[in-house]
Amino acid sequence: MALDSDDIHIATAERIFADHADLQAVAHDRAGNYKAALWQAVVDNGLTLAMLPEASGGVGLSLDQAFDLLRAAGRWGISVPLADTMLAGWALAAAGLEPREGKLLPLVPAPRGKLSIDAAGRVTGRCAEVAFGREAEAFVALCDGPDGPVIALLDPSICQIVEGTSLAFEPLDAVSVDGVAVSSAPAGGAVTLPEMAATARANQIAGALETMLDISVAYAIERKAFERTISKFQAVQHLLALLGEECAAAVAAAVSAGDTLARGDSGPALLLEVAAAKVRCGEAAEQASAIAHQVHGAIGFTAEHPLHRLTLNTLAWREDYGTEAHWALALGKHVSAGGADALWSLLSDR
Amino acid sequence: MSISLRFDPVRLPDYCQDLRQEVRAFIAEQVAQGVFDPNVEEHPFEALDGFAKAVAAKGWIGMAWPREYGGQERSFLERYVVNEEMLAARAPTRRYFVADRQSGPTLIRYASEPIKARVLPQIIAGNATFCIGMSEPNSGSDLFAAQAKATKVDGGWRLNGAKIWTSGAQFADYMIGLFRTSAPTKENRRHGLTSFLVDMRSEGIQVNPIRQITGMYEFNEVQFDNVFLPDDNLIGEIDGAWKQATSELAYERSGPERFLETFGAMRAFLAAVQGSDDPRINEGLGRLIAQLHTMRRMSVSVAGMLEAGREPVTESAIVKDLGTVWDKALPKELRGLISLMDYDSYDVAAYRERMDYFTRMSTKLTIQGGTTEILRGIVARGLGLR
Ligand SMILES: Cc1cc2nc3c(=O)[nH]c(=O)nc-3n(C[C@H](O)[C@H](O)[C@H](O)COP(=O)(O)OP(=O)(O)OC[C@H]3O[C@@H](n4cnc5c(N)ncnc54)[C@H](O)[C@@H]3O)c2cc1C
Repeated sequence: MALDSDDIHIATAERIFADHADLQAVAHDRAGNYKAALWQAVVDNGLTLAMLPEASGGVGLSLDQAFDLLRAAGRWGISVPLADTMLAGWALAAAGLEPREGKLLPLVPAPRGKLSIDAAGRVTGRCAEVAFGREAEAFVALCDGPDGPVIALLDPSICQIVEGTSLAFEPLDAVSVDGVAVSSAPAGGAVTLPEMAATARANQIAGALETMLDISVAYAIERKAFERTISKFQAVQHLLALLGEECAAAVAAAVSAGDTLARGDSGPALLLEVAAAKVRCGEAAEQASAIAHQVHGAIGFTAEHPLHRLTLNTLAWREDYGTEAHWALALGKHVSAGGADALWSLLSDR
Repeated sequence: MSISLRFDPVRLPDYCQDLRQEVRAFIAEQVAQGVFDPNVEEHPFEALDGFAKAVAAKGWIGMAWPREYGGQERSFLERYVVNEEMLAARAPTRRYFVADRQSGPTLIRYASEPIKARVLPQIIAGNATFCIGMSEPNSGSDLFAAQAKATKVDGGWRLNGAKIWTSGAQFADYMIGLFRTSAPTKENRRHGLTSFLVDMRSEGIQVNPIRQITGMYEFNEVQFDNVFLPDDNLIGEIDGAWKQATSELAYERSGPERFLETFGAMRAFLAAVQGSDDPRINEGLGRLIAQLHTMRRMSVSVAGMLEAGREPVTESAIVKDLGTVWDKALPKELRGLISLMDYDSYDVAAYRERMDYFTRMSTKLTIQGGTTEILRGIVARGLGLR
């Protein structure tokens, strides 16, 4: 494995992304031909194993470093199931199941699906929107079992996949299951798969916002109108300041949630951190994308320009593993049940 | 990547969380003893003074300051915890808040030894209220347009002119004020202003209250008619006050007061909707809490930067802009949500009375201490745009 220390991990990953998913080059590649080589490099360098403990074949990264790596992937607008395969591998390990190689995709049913497993290991149900669903070599599903949540490894052959397309023109498929799992176990530590997955997407969004900010500022400093660079117009400065603030908030929220999972916090604290991250990053994605496009003018509206790789991906990632509304509702329910002092304790404990 | 606005996930150490419990117990005791009512906005001076003395007895005013002036040299994070607990409980800190947050640290950094030795212990004892004399009728965001004058005389200075919007001047013991000592230069329009410590009991000072939109009298006009100041009261460099401003602003801008001023509105709302299972209310509430939590995490992160001796000017402006915009919008957001509640499930009249106060006061939040537009200008500078 080429990876050993934290900074080197991120630096290595960024090099791989730069080599195989250069923003401009990828924007020209409408057919997505870059993806095969990118995926191969990602796998060869052990990036998909980043969430595993070393004992389960991991590469020695802590969980917060793994989320840092996903933020780096977000900075390059990566559209291969890196986060998803990481998460699925993590869930297998956390449930004490054998590791599985290849492109793994997690099935997290809530809020757009339901999966059950019976005592004989038969899994039935449906997940409405699974990113990259058709590409799975195996699914790792979080199912309702007779005695609580169960992690089940599913062969795609027992699944029916209806293909769809995401906002970012990526695969977003419906997966229905009816068949016996390859293996399964009580979820154990993997019950937090929904929180892990939401935090992963939050970090990807935050990363994409970092690049949106960079390229928008760079563009404003270079683009001229009315005989000066547009960065000199106060209206443009204030738009970019807001973009910077949204980006900062997204990164802060996503990093804080990653840190919370890495510390092993649970219960209301985990709900607060993860819900806040997914909600805040989703809201930031919306505002930041709008500003980045506004600052770029028509050029940003073209397929040729790489901006859409960032904006459409971040907007699409809002949909995965619970939307803002889903997480806000869960958090709001908890808060409204408790009153102001309970809210303040929850916030200030963090 | 070229731009780094990194807010590390600082967690408050255990000793801070222990202190928090102590502050909570103290506040509960003060409320139980009737020293203050968290649902009342205006307290008589005696109540403010009594509360300040009790906080001082705990050693929580100027707690991070040097021991030689009576401080405890406790960490900036501990001060942060005390401050946010006071805010969340809506404790009446007016008697010492400004001095504790910014005037004291300014004196420590720039004042003469005799002033430090005399005034800092007064603040720490809860005996010195400060006000901020920056704005004038024709000088707000553009502080460098200030005209109130300080003229050098034998043994000191004479002040003439007026300050306006001076919060708390009616019961302040001191002002740190900005006065013109020379004309600006062609090269530097910021040149020529000097900071002074003004004893508010000096002869020639007149404080005229200005009634606010809320019906309260929080700010004032302060007139100076040939007010004498001894030389010791000079703060920092003559004509060079502009150099002293930036670090002070990082403290002023990033604190929890930037998103907790309307926490009383949140309190009233949560009491009214407690136990609601209306998904529209809970979803809306969840979004507000997601923002609040994120800002607090950013603010704690800035506190960590300050503790580490950095000067996070851009980060502080970001926290203040996000915080005040959210804080200002809170009464409006809550209004949208509460109207979904069945009107006989809570005390509508009491709720309205409480909320109306916050709606009336909310517009100040994005003006005082630097407007939204000024803050975005600072952030834009941090991004390299100006
Ligand atoms: C409740 C309250 C308490 C206060 N307490 C104090 C106090 O204790 N001591 C004190 O000294 N002051 C105090 N102030 C005054 C406060 O600091 C000023 O109101 C503030 O700095 C703005 O100045 P201004 O009101 O003169 O508005 P102006 O500066 O005239 O601004 C008016 C509008 O123009 C905009 N604007 C101005 N310059 C620019 C620019 N360069 N680019 C874009 N837009 C711009 C502003 O953002 C604002 O929207 C207080 C104000 C309030 C509301």
